[in-house]
Amino acid sequence: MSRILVVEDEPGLQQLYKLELEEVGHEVMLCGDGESALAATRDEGFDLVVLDIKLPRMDGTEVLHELKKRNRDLPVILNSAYATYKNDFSNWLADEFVVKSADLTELKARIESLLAAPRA
Amino acid sequence: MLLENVHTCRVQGSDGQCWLKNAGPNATITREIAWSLLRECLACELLQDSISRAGGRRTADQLIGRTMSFMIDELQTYEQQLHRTSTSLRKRVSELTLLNQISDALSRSSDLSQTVQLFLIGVTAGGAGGLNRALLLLTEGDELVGHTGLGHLSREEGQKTWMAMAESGSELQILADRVFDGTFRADAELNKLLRTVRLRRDSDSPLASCLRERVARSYSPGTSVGHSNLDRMYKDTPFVAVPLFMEHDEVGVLVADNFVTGLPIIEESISLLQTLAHQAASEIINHRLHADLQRQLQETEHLYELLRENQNYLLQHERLVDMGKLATTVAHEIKTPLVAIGGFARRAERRLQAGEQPSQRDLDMIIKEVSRLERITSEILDYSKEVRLNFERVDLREALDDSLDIVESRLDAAGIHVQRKYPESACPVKADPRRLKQVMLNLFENAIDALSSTPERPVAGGTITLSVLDAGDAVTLEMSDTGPGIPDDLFDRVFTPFFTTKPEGSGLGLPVTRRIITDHGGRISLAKDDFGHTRFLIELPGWREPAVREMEHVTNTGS
Repeated sequence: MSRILVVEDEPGLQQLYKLELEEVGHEVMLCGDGESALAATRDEGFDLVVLDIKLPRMDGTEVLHELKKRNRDLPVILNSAYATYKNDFSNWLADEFVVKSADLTELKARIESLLAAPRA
Repeated sequence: MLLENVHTCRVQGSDGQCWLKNAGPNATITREIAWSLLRECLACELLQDSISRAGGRRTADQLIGRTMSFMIDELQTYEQQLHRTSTSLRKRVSELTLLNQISDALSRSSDLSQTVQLFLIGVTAGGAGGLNRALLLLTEGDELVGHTGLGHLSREEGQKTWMAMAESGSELQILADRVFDGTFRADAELNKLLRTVRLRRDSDSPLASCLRERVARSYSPGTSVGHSNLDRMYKDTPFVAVPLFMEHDEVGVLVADNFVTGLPIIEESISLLQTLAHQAASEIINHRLHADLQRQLQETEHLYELLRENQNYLLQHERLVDMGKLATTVAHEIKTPLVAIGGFARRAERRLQAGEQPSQRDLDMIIKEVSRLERITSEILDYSKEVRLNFERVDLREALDDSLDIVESRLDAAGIHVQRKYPESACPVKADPRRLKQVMLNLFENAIDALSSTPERPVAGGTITLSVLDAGDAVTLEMSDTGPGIPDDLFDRVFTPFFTTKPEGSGLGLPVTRRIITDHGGRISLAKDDFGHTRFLIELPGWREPAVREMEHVTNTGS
C-alpha cells in the first residue's frame, strides 16, 4: 500500500480518483490547489503525486518544480485535459504525463510502474 | 522799361505816386504784374487819378489791353491742361472700373478655366485693357504650357469680331456672364494651336525669361519665342509678355498684341496688364492649392477607407482568435465533468458485469456531474447568444429588493446584513426586468460567496451595502461587501470568460453580468474601497418618457 496525493480542483474527479485508487489498495489524500499540496507534502510523506496542471492561483507546473526542488525522487505524474502541455519543456521534469480520461487504466498502470521502480 | 517791384506796391509807389505815372506803354507785362493790375490797380484811386490825366490814359489803356490778352493766353493754357487731366482721369476711372469688375468676377470664379477666361477677357475688353488678342501659358513642372487664348488666329476674323464688339459695345459684364453660364466660346483654331506650345522654363525664350526675371516686356515683330507656331503668329506683330507670379510661385505668362488695330501697346496698358496679371496669379494659385487640397483629401479618404477595411479584417481576425480561445476553454470546461461522468459510469458498468448492483454513490456522482455539465452549457449558451431586450420603466430600488427576497434564505444562513441607501423617490431606469434581475442575483451570489465561511475565513457574515443615486440621465448603483476582496493580481481578470476562483464556478457569471449591462447601454466597473473590500459600480441609463417627436422619428426611419 502506497500513500498517493491527488492534486485536482474538480470535486467530481477528486472523488473518482480517490475511489479508484483506494480500490486497488492505495491510501489517497486530496488537495484542491497547489498551495495546499505543497503544505501537505511538507508535513507528510507521500510515495507519489498525481498533479493537475490547470489549478487556481498557482498552476501545476509551478507546483511540480517546487516538489522536485525539495525531493528529486518523489515520483510526480502530470494529469491534464490538454495533451499539448506534454510538449511544454517545463513539464519534462515530471516522471510521467497522462492525459485525463474517463478510462483510468493508463493512469493506474503508470502509478504502479513508478511505484515498482527501484528508488535511486 | 521794366516795372520791377510794382507788385509790392499794393497801394502806391515809394514816392506815394501810382506806378503807372512812370510806366511807359511798352512796359513788360509779367504774370505778377498782370495779376496785380487786375486784382488791385483797377480798383485803386491812384490809378483812377493817373487815368484821368490826359497823358496817362493811353498808357493805361494799352497796359490793360496787353494784360487782358496775356490773361486770355493763360486761360487757354489752363483749359488745355484741364482737358488733358480730365481725359486721363476719365481713362483712369474706366481702368479702375474695369479692374474692379475683373477682380469681382475673378473672385466669383469657381474653377481655373473660368478664372483664365475672365482674366483674358479683362485683357482684351474694350475700354481700358483693349488689346486685340491675349494668350495665357501656365507653368507645369519645368515647362510653360499653352493654356487658353482669346482673339483670333486670322486678321480677318479678328477684324470682324473687333467691329462687332465696337458696335454692340460688348461690355465686360456681358462677357463675364457668358463665362459664368458656360456659353462663352474662345476661338477653337487659336486654342488648338496654343495647346501645342510647350516651352522649358529654363530656356532662353523671352517668355521663359520674362517669368524668371518677373518683368513685363514689349517685343518687336519677328522676335522668336522658341516655338514655331507662335513665331509664325508674331512674324510681323509686336507683342507684350507679362509674367504671372506671387511671392515664390511662378504661375505663367500672358502674351498680348494688337494684331488687328496695329495700335502701339503703351506703357500704361502694360502696367494695367501687370495689375490684372497679379490678380489672376493669386486666383490661379488659389485654384491650384484648392485642387491640391482636394487631391490630398481624396487620398486621405482612400487611405482611411483602406485602414478601415484593414481594421475590420483585424477585428474579424481577433474575433476568430477569441472564438478559438473560447472553444478551447469550453472544451476544457466540458471535458472535465465528462471525464468524471465516464469514470463513474465505468465503475457502475464494472459492478454490473461482476453481477453486483451499481453503487448509489457512483450513480449520484454521474447525476451531479451531468447537471453541472448542463449548467455549464446553458451558461455558455447564455453568454454567446444574442439576447433581445424588452425595455420597460423599472424602479431600480424595487428591482434590488425583489432580488434580495430571492436570496433571503442564503443571506440569513450566512448571517449577512444588507444596508440600503436608497433615495426616497423612485429611481426609474430603462431596463429589461428579467435581465436586470439576473444581474442583481449574480452580484448578490458573488457577495454571499465572498461573505460565506471558507477555510481561510472560518466565520461567515458581514454587510452588503447598496447605494443608489439617481442623476436623471443615469442611475448609479454602488454595491460593496465586507468580504476579503479580490486579490490585486486577479482584479483585471474577473470579467474574462471562464476565469474563476471557485471550484463550482463556471467563470461566466461576471462576463454575462457585464454583457447584460452593456446591452442596456450601461457600464459596470470594479473598484476597491480603503479596506480592500470589493465594490461594484453600475451605471444604467435613466428612464425617459418617450416624447411624441421621438415616436415620429422612429416612424419616419421605419417607413
